[in-house]
Amino acid sequence: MAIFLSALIIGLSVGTIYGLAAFGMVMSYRISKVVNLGQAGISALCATMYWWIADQWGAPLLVSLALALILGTLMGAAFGYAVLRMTSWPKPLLMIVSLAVTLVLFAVADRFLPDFNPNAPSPFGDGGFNFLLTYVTSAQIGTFLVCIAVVVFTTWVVRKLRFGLFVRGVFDDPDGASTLGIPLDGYVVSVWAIAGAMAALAGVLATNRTSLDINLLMFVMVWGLAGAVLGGMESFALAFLGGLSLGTAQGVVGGTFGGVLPPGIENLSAIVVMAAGVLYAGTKRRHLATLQT
Amino acid sequence: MLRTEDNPATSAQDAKAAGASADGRTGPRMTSAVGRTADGARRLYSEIKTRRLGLPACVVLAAIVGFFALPDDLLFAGTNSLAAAVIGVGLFLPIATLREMPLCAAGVMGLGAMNFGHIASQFPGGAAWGIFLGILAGLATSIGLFVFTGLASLVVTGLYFVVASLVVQAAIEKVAFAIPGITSGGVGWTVPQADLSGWFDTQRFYYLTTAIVAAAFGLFAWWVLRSRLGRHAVLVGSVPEGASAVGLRNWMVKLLIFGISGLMIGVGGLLLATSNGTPPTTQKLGIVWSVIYLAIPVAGGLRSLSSVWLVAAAFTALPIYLERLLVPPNALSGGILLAAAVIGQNRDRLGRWVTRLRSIGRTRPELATGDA
Repeated sequence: MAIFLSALIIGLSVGTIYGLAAFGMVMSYRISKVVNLGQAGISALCATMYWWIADQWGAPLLVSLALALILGTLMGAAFGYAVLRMTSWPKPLLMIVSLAVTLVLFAVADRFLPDFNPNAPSPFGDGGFNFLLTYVTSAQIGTFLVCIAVVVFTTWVVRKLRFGLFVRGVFDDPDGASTLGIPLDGYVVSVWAIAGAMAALAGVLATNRTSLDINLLMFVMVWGLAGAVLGGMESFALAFLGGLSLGTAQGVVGGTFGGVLPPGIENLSAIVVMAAGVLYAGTKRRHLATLQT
Repeated sequence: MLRTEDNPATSAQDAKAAGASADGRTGPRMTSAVGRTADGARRLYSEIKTRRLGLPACVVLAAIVGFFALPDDLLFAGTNSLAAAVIGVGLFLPIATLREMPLCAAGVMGLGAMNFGHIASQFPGGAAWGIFLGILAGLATSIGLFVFTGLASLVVTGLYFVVASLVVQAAIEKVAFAIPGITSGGVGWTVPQADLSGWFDTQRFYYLTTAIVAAAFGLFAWWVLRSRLGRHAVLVGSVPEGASAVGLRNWMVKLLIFGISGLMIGVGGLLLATSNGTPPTTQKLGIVWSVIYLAIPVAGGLRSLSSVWLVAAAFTALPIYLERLLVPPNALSGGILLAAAVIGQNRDRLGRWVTRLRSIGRTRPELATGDA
């Protein structure tokens, strides 16, 4: 029971990070219809900067986190502005361009990283407490709560505020929104900036769970993309739940049967969830099938 | 067809050449041969221009020049780029015909190459049989996995298919490659290699072999695109309901295309494994590489097979060559991707610039006659 509970906590903590990544992907997809693989690069560089500022400069963790988030916001905004200039390009090509950006950002991050994968400190400290024979770390609790809070707050902004109303207008009918006088460019760049900040946060939270490994961050974004597609790239709530369920499945099976199953098999659970979800979503919500070459 | 004798320009050149022979340095027979060669070259150039074979001709010429002129390290880069081009051409087929983008090429190729390496290096009945059975096993793995991926396209399309193929990549990367029996525990299987020395050494041998195989598969893909199967596949990809209505079995056409594509991806993996002496490491078989392989036909503009070859060469050969300059491979790959995308999307503008550059220094007729 204790093992299962521990695995569940790990899974929920990881799942919220995937959910956050999925949330950011849905935002940039809905505003520009571009699958944004650049999120992986932004999260890698921001996580690296967070570690660099905290560990090498000795800055307080919150200052490092704030600077990393600002960097993510700026990069997201810059990328959004670039995408605005490339609206006539085919969407698959823009996806490839976003991958190119990721590769370049990986290279920049590599310039700062040492030869080994360093351990980035958690912004929530190293503490923890016992709960039903399970040791829960403050990083796990902090990650879970922060991700939930960010998602809830962003959803509230999109649903209730004037900014959100305009953003939804651009989401649903860009031409109509433009006719009504909504400054399209500004809102597109803003949404991409928010998605960049989310990617930065996901990167920082993911790397202080294990170590600062760029390939790991690429996979966080892959699971995030899978979660977003499970939500039809449209619903924020479903995208977050998709990412959460993938992470939870991975954490629960990996944590519970990690010592029993052969290596690698623990990942099968998330893969099966992902496959079933994609096939189900693909047959029920066929509108994404239009994104072809 | 215009005969050489009828061509006034050629006749004038022949007359000039005949004049040149008067000094005794070139005989009339040789002059005639030179004229015929020049005429043949001119006709070939005209044929290339009218049939728009310029790019394929450049690719073939570059490959041939590379064989004779390149040093060993660049031949290695060239061999890798030719193998990557085979994979790129393999991915070109489902994208160009079925309009589906599979994101699992690196994993599929890698698993095929690993199985090939495993059997080729461990088979107890001799190296030749090991290689033969390894090739069969490697190709069967790649074709089987890609057809399996193609099954998803019967149910879902578009972005859902992209993610479904991502599931296959994740399964291979996270599950199959975590099993030491498949990857040889990170050490890598040692594939038996030919041992040649002198000018036609091992590297040149593998370059030639890879180039021949790559050319054969390039022609095969070209033929498939123009065959009945290719036309059916385009119809199935563009208007699936219409294809069904005219009696096509959509599922069969899709699986055939994925099977052919899997064959090419498998062959690309085998070429990489044989030329490097070992299958690619798992770091080079990850999701990033799957997207890079997919980017080869996409960044090539999806217009012609030749551009796939050029982009593949840029993607693989340049990073290998520039590694000595300590340029990070990720930065190079990303930069090349960006450059290919920008050039591909601004072809018309670039064409105008080239025309403008060509016109510099020339006298414009209207200015010369005072009509301006």
